[in-house]
Amino acid sequence: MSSFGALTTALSGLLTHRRALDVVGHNIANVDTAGYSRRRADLTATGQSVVPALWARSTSTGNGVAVEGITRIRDEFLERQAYSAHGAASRLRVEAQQLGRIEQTLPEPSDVGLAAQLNDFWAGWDDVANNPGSMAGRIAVLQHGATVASSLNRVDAELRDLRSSALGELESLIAEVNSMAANIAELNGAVSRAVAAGLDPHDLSDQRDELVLQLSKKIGIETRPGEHGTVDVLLGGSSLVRGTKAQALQVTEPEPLGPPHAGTGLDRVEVQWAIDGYPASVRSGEAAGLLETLNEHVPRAIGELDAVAAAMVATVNALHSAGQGLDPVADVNLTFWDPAGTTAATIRISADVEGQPSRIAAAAAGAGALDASVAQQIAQLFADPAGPNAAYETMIGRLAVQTQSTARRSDIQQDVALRADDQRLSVSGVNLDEELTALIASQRAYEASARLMTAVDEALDTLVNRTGLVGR
Amino acid sequence: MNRITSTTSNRRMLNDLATAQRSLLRAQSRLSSGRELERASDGPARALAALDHRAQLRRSEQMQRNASDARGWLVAADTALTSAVQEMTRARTLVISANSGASDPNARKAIADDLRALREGLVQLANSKYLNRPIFAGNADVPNAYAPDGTYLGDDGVVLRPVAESVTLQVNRPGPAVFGTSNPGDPMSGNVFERLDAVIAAVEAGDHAAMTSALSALDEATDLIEAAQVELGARAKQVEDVAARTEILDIDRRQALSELEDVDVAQALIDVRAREFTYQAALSSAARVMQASLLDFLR
Repeated sequence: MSSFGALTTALSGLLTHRRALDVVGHNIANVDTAGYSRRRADLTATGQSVVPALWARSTSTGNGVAVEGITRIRDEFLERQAYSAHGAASRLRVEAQQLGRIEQTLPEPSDVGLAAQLNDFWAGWDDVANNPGSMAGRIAVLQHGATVASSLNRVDAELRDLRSSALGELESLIAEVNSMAANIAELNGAVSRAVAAGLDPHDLSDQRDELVLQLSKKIGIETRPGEHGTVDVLLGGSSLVRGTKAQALQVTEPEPLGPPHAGTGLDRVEVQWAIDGYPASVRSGEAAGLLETLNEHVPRAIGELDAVAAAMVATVNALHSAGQGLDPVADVNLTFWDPAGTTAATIRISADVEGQPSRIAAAAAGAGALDASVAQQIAQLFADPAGPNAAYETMIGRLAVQTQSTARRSDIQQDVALRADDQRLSVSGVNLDEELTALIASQRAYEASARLMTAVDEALDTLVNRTGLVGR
Repeated sequence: MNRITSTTSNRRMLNDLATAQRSLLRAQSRLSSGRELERASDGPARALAALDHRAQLRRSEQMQRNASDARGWLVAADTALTSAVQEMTRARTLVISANSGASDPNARKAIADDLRALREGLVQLANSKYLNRPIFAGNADVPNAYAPDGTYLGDDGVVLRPVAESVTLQVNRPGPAVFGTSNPGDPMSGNVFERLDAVIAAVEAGDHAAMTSALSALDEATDLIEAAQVELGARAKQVEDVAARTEILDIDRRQALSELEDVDVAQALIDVRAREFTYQAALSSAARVMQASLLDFLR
């Protein structure tokens, strides 16, 4: 070993530990950066040749230290687990939110909801029965009927509004997904160029992986490592991003909804690949939650509301058309509800009785003009298992159970996503105490290397300036 | 978990704080709104039960109205029939006095006039109305049950009132069932007005045999009116009983509804206190833990 070898060793220590300090500094600076994976400087001892030559005897102890590379610490498996956990959690969160909105259109139990209006309507028929000759009760029952009809119309319109705003949300979500996919593809390009140039692509990779995580919340994805440090993003098995190429998605309404929601007259919403129009398989993420809302939750609620309206029209009209109004000749075979309007959107009071309270059939056909048996039978419909009250209660019960259970599942899945993040961050996150420890270790090593340089310098000084002075 | 990173612990703490805050807010809104069930999904089974109770309550509110209407009918009928029975008793007295003493045509004429006035009063009683509707006219839409000459204008329709769940009462009796069926061929076995007409004719003619047989005919008519009065009276009693029972049921139902929908205030207060405490504890522990770091102990 040469006389100056130790100086080189000391120098390598100084350089290496300064580099290590840089890495610690980078970690500390990014302690709160989203998507940042902590770095570690991998140190390696340098010196002895790898293949010792014949006769070449070296007594050297090595030439010091070097930074072999900087590792980005993260666990791909845990990251992928987080993608799927976030996808499922986002889907349920959106579904719970949308179901909550659907439920809000039907505030029950309350004094102002549809149930209360239905009950007022039935009670109104008893008032007609108590005084069939008076117009007051008849006008009141027409009014109660109009209130029920307009409530059904309003809730139906609110549900359709809710659906169209969910559709708007889905469209802007898919636009965002497209731009994110394009960004990921671009970052993939930057990463692979950096790798080819032998540069350190870690910061770019972090940015890209953070984007992938955000994308997993929007639309359920899987990832697969690509070439040269790139990542391929898959949606239902097809590539959304492959290397530096991204595919676009689009939202369309290809056909009317099939059974059991065919009666609602709504179109099925679908997410398609823009390139060939094939349906994309969207099973998780916010997009899936919105699709479920659009194709299942809202149409089902509308269908159930239609069932309430249909039961109302069928049961009341069946009794009403068998009765007679105050005029026993002209006021027979009349409908109370317009028989053409059997959905929540179209239910309305029939032209037979609209504005003509005396034509309301309170009496049985052929009975005395002040007979009230039909009115009393209609009042009894409130307890009819085929009547609108039963249909409405079924709807409220089903919706409440679904809303509650979806909200619970959403809470659980949020917790799962949180745990997945914890797991993921426990590997890739920065711990300040750890960094401070590394900081002190590097600082000490730097100091010690400087001290070594001084020691070697002093030794050389002894050799250069103080030797050969014997006898002087 | 092996490593706890700064981000993880911050996130955890933030999440726990948010959870504590949310549950505090929920407890507080329950207390301030006083409602346990703010929306159906807070408790689907309870919400459905509440819907059912509400429907029943509204229904029984209507039943109470029906019952008070029924009471009105029955009271009107009772008043009319009580007076009718009195009139019939007076008619009997008059006929007896015409039959026994007064042989003087003028006296008999006076009695006959009296009887004629009485008959007119009886027609008016038979035309008694409730809410402007003749109560003895069945379901016919007519201004009066009987024409001044005693012809029945109504029909034999029954007026029913559902006064409670599965209790429907007939609150009327058509005229013929109270005042007798008309029989123009044999006035003495016709309705009460025809009988009175026959009696008046007999009194005017001084036909003692006819007057004697008329007495039993009048008694028969009175019995029929009395029978109607007793029957309707019994129904009035029934309406009272049923209404009282419905009211008791309603109180129970309201109680049940309140238990389903309303917050137990004491319980809710304790909940709020407990959650407030949890939240404060979470805040103070978070404040302590987040401050601590190795930096505090380095030179």
